[in-house]
Amino acid sequence: MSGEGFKIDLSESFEHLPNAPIVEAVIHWRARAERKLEPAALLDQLKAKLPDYPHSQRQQEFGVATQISAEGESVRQHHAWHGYRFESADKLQIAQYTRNGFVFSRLKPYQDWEKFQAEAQRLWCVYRELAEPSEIQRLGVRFINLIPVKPREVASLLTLPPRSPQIMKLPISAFLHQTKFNIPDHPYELNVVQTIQPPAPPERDSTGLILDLDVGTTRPIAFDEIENRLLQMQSIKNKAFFSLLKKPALKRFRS
Amino acid sequence: MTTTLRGGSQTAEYIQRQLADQRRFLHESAALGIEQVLRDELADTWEECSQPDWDGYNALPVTTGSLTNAGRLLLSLPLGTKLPSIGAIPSGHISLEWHHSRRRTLTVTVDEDGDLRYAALLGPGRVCGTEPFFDETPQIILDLIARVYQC
Repeated sequence: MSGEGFKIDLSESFEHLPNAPIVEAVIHWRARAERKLEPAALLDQLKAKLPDYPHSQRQQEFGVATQISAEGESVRQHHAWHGYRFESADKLQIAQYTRNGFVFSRLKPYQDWEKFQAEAQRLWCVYRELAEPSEIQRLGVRFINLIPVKPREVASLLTLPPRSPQIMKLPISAFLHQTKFNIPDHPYELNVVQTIQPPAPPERDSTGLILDLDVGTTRPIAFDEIENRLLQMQSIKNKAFFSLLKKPALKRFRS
Repeated sequence: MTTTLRGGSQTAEYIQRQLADQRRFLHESAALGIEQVLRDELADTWEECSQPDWDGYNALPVTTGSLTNAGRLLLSLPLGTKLPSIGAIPSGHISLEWHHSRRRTLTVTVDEDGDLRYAALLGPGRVCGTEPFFDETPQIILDLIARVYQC
């Protein structure tokens, strides 16, 4: 698939949208801990280092296994420690520390990139110190947008909307569209998910149009590359956002 | 079985569930999917090897962590991938084997920490190593599966 015409241009500026539909912004470091993480000790260390994240929660991995014995079938559930989730006092910032890396999320209202990435990097340094990964297997920047719409409006807002076959002209009640794009000459890929979710109670009429933009590296990166990689991925994300939404959609976010 | 959630909001969770449901639906296809292996072979292995000494030589029981990660690995394979045989090894881990002939075979064992240990015989050559598993099949494993059947 050709990528002719697209260049990462860090000097390109993008319009600031005061009412941007971002429900979650995420930076994800996939970097396996190379120091053995002992759950109780790690919790104590994290609590000491994150006084501004007072809510902590243990994260479990959950699996179900079925055992068939002479007495009949029995089901065994398995919970294994996976990591910890810390939330800021206002619960708008979430830090997930796991054996496989670190995830920082900012929920709405999103403020700005500078504050967001500075906080993410501050918390990443805590992970790096405690888990001692030797490299970053994948670094990702993800922005999830949620736009309230009437189902019939979807086609007028997206540049790549779902379509009904011309001959049948059936109304679309649901769709899920995922596309992965390579970024030519750069070690990145862009994963775009477009879908709608039913009205979330107590809402009854308004469907949520989700535009999920996830940019990630395609090869391991060194620690001193983080800053530059984040800037480039932010630029790709911005370009994708303004390319995938039509003008009437953007207009909604200006005030 | 769960995968690591890259995000903290309900919307992130909704997207992940939608994508997983779609993928699971495709995996139910007899032609392309892995559902049958999960339902039959993986379940059989668990049934036969989840007690201590299942081999009569003091083997450790297969751990639920290894079982869960093996299921995830199978679900992460591209649709239509040649199906492996499922087994267990005495250390209590699930093993997946792609076998073409005596000298063209690949074994991947999956432990509870999500490490994949692979060993392949490819004609006169041998390849082995360890890769971390993050819910995507490592490219080297996909390459080795292709090479096993490439002759």
